Amino acid sequence: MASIASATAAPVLALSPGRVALGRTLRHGGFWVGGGILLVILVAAILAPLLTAHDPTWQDLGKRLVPPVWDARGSWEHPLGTDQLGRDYLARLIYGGRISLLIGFATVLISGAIGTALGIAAGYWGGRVDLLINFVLTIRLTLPVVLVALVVVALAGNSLTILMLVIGLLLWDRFAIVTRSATQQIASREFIVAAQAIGSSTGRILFKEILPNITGPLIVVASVELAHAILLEAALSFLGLGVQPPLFTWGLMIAEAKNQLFFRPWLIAVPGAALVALIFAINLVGDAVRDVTAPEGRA
Amino acid sequence: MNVLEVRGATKTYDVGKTLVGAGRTLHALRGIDLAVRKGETLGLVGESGCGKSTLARLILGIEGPTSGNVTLAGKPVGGYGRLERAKLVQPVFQDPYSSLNPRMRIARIVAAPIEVRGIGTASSRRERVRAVMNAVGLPEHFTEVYPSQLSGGQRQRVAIARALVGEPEILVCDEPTSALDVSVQSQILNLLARLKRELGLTLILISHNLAVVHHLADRVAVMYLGRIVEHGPTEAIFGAPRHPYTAALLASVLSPRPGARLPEMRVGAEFPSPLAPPPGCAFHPRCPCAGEGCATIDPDETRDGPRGYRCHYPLAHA
Ligand SMILES: Nc1ncnc2c1ncn2[C@@H]1O[C@H](COP(=O)(O)OP(=O)(O)OP(=O)(O)O)[C@@H](O)[C@H]1O
Ligand SMILES: [Mg+2]
Repeated sequence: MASIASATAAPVLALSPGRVALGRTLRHGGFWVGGGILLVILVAAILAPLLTAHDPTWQDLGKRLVPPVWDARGSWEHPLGTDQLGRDYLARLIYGGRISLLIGFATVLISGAIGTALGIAAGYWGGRVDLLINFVLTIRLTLPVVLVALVVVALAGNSLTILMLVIGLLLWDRFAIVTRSATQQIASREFIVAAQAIGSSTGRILFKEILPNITGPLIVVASVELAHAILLEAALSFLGLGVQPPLFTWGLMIAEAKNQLFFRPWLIAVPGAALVALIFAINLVGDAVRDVTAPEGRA
Repeated sequence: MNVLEVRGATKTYDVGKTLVGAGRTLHALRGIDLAVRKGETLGLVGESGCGKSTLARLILGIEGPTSGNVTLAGKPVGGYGRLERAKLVQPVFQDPYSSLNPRMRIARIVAAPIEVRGIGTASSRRERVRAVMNAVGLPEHFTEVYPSQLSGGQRQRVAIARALVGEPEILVCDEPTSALDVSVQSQILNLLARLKRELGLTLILISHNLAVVHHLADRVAVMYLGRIVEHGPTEAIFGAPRHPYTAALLASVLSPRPGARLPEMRVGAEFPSPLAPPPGCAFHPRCPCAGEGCATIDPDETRDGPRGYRCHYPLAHA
C-alpha cells in the first residue's frame, strides 16, 4: 500500500506472526522431507490418470500375479506387477491412495469441525458449558474406537460416506482437548475482554479473535488425526469392514493380499510401504509445525 | 450530572463449583457506592485483590453485579445493547502485551470498535484511525505492523487509541502504567491527562499506587476488600487521610520504595481472603487504631462535606 509510506516514516516491515511461523517452518528440515513425500503422494493421487495408462479395476485373468519389474519375471508393462485378478498394481496403488487420502482429509474436516467447536466453546464459556462438554468428551474417550466403528459399519453398512462419517464422528476428542486448553489460554488474555468491551459479537470473538490464535496447535492435531484416520480406515478395510469393491484403498489392498504373504510378499509390501511413507510424512510435517508454533515443545 | 453511578453493587463468585457441588462464595465486591460526574477523573486505589478490576468489569458491562446497580448516563448498564454500551465506556488495560491481539495489524486493532459498530466506510475508518493514532502520538506507518513489533509504551498508546476511536464518554484505565518501564509511565500518564483535557473525557483511573493517581485524579476512592473505605477530593485525601488504611497506603508511597507493599502493621496480619471477609470492619485485623467494636460492627459511612469514610476511630487532623 502506497498510502502508508509517509515522507518521514522509515519503512517498517510488517511481520505477521503467521508469516514468521511459515518462514521458520520453511527452514525446518523435517518439514521438507515430510512435505516432499506428502507432495509426491498427493500429486500422484491427483494426477493419477496421467501417471498410468492402466485401469486399476481392469482384470486380465491371463496375467495374474505378475511379479514387479525388479523380479526376473517382471516387465515394465506392469512396473509393480499385477494382483490375483490380474489388475495392474501400480494403477491400484495410485488410485487406492486417492481414496485413502480422501477418507483421511474428509474425516479430519468432520472431526476437526466437531472437536474445534466443542473445544472452543468449552474453553471460552467455561463453567457449566465446560463441565458438560468434558462429560461428553469423557464418554467419547471410554468408547473403544475400532470396536465402535466395527459395530456401526456392520449395522449401517459400509458405504464410503458412512465410513467417513463414523471415523469423523469418533476422532474429534484430541481436537477438543487441544483447542479447549489453547482457547482457555487465549480467553484469559485482555484482548478478549477488550473485544467484549468494544461490543464484538460472540461470533466475532470466537472466529476473529480466538481462532487465528490457535491455528498452530490445530494444524498439529490435524496432522496427527489425519494419520490416525488413514490408519483406522486401513485397519477397518483389513478387517473387511472398510470400503468395499469396486472401491479400494491401501488398507483393502493389504487385506486382499494377506493370503499371498509368504509367496508374493510384494503384494503386501507395496501398499504397506506406501502407507508407512504417508504416515511418516504426515507426522514429520506435524512435528515441524509443532516445533515452530509451540516453542516449549522444541528440543 | 453523574455519568456513572454505582449503588450498593456487590459481586460474588462461586469458586470450586462442579456439576453437582455448590462450591464456596468469593466476595469480590461488598457494596460499592460511587458517583462520577462528567469530565471528572476518579482515582481508584487499593491493594491487589481488593476488587478494582472487578468493579471495572461491572462498569464496562462485561459482567453484571450480583446485587445493586451500575448506571451509565442514567440507565442501568445491563439495559444497553453491547454497541450502545461500547459507545459510552471503553477500557485501557494493564498489560499491553496481553491486551492486543497478536494476529492483527495495528490498523485493524484500532479500527475494531468502529468497525463493529458499522460506522463509516472502510476508507473513512482508515482516516479516523490515522487521526486517533496521531492524537496518541503514534507514527502513521505503525498501522501496518503487528503488536509484537512495538514496545510496551507504544502498545499502550495503541490500546488508548483503540479505546478512543469510537469517542466514548468514559475511559476506564485499569492500572494503565504498572506494566510499563518507569520512564514510559509518566509519558502515558501525561498522554491520558492531555486527552482527558482535550476531549473532556470522564476518566476512571485504577491503580494500586497512590502516586499514579495523585496528579490526574480530581477525586480518589480507596478500596479495601471489596469496599470503598474512604473517598473524597484528591487534595483532602492526600493531605489529611481519615481512614487508617488510606494513611498506610500513603505511607507506602512515601517510603523509600514507592509502590512497595503495604508496610506490615501487625505481625502475621496478611491481606484477608475474600472467601471469608473478617467480621466487623474488614480492616481491623491489620489496623493500628482498632478498638472496641471494630471486630464486630461494620462501620457505616461517615460523611464529611465532599468526603466520606468508613471507620469507627478515624484519624484526627489538626
Ligand atoms: N472471574 C472470577 N472468578 C473467581 N474469582 C474472581 C474472579 N475475578 C476476580 N476474582 C476474585 O475477586 C477478587 C478481586 O479481584 P480483582 O481482580 O478485582 O482485584 P484487583 O483489585 O483488580 O487486584 P489486582 O491489583 O491484582 O489487579 C480476587 O480475590 C479475585 O481472586
Ligand atoms: Mg486488577
